[in-house]
Amino acid sequence: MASSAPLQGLLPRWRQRLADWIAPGPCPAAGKNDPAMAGLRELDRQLLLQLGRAVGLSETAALSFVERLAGLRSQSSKLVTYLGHAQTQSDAMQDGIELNSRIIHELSSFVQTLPAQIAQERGHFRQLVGEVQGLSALTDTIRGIARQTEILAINAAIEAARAGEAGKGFSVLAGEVRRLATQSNESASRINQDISRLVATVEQGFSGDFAARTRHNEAEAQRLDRLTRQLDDSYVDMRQFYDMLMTAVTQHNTELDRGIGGLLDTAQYQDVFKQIVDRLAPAMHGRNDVLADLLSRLRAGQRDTSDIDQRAQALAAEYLVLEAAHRDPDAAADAAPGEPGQRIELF
Amino acid sequence: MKTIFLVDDSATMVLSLKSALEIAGFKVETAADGEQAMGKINKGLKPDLIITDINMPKMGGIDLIRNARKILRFTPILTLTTESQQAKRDEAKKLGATGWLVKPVASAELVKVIKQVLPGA
Repeated sequence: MASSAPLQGLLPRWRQRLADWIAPGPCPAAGKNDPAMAGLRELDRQLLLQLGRAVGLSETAALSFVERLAGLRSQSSKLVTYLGHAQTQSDAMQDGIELNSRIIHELSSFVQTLPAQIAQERGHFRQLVGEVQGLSALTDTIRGIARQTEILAINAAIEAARAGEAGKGFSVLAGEVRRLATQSNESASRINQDISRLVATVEQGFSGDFAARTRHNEAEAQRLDRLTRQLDDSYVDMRQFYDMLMTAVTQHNTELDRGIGGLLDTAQYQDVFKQIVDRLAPAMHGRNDVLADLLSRLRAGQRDTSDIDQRAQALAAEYLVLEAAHRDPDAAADAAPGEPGQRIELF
Repeated sequence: MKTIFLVDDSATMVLSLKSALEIAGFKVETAADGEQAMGKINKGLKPDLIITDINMPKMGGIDLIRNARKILRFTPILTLTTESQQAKRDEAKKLGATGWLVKPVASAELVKVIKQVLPGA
C-alpha cells in the first residue's frame, strides 16, 4: 500500500497554487488579456474550430447524399415520363391492332360468304346457259327457214326463166332472195357454233376443279377466321399483362419517388444542425467575458462578485431564450401553447 | 414555366429544394446570400416567387426583402428559416413578405404553399 506521506501537505500546496493562480498578488494584466482567459479562449476557439469542421464534414456528406438522391429522383422522374409515353404508344398500338383485327374479321366474314355467292352465281350461269342453248334451237329454226327460202328462190328462178322476157325482173329478185337466204343460213350456223363454244367454256369453268377450289377457299376462310380469333385472344392477354406491368412499375416508382423526396427533405436537418452549432459561439463568448471579469476581480483582491455571479447565472437563461426563438425542427406543424408561431404562416 | 428564386447560404438546402421544385415543374434560380440575390435582381432577374433564408452572411433575408421590394413590388416573397420569433415575422410582414415557413419543411407542403401564392402554378 502506498504511503500517505507524499500526500501530506499536498492539499495546502494545491490550494496555495490555486490561490496564486487566481490572485497572484497585484495583477494589472488581469481581465481579457489574462493568460488563464487566453488559454480558455484558445480552448474554446479550438473547440469551435472542431465543431465547424464537424459541421463542414456533415455538410459535405449531406451534399453528396443530396446530389445522389437528386440524381435518383431525376431518373425516377424520367422513368415516369417514359412510362407515360409508353402508355400512350401502347394505346395507339392497341387502337391500330383492334382496327386491323376488325378489318380481318370483316374480310374473313366476306370470304366465308364467297362459296355461297359463287354457288348462286353458278346457278345464274347455268340458267343463262340453258337460255343460250334455247337460242341454239332458234338458230336451227332460222336455218330451216333459210333453206326453205333458198328452195323457194330456186323454184322462183326456174319459173321466171320459163316466163321468158317477162320474167327477167322476177328472176333478179329470186336471185337476191336466194343470196339472202344463203347468208341467213351461214349466219345462223356461225351463231350456233359460237353458242356451242360459249356453253363448252362455261361447262369447263364449273367443272370438278371449280368445286374443289371453292371448298379449299371456304376452308382457308375458316382458318383465317380462327387465326384472327387466336390473335385477338393473344393480344388481349398481352394487353392485360402490359397494363398490369405498367400499373405495378408506376406504383413502385411513385413510392420510390416519394421516398426519395422524403430523404431529400431530411437533408434540411443538416442546415438546422449547422445553425444550432453556430449559435454556440456567441454563448461561449458571453461566458468567457463573465469569466474574464470574475478573474480580474479576484486577482485584484475584490471579494464582492455578486453582480458577476448574477451575470453568470443569467447566461444559461439568455442562451435558452435565444434558442427558443428557433423552433424545434420536429415540433408539430401547428404551434403548441407556449411555443413560438406556426411552421407555415401566410400573411 | 414559373421561375422560383431560392436564396440560402446552405448548399444542402438549396440542392434539396431545387431538386424538389424542379420535379414539381418549376424553373429554379439560386443565390447564396442576399447580396448575391440583389446582384441578380439588379441585372434584371424577374422571378415569379422568391424564397429566402433569414440568417445569411453579407445580406440577410430581412434586408433582402427590404431591397427587393423596391424593384419587385408585387413578387411574392416567402421566408424559409429556423427563426420563429414573432417580432421577426412581424418585421418581415411589414416589409412586404408573403409568408413565413420554418425549416425543415416537407417539399410537398412547400409546393402546396407555392401553389397557394402563385395561382396557376
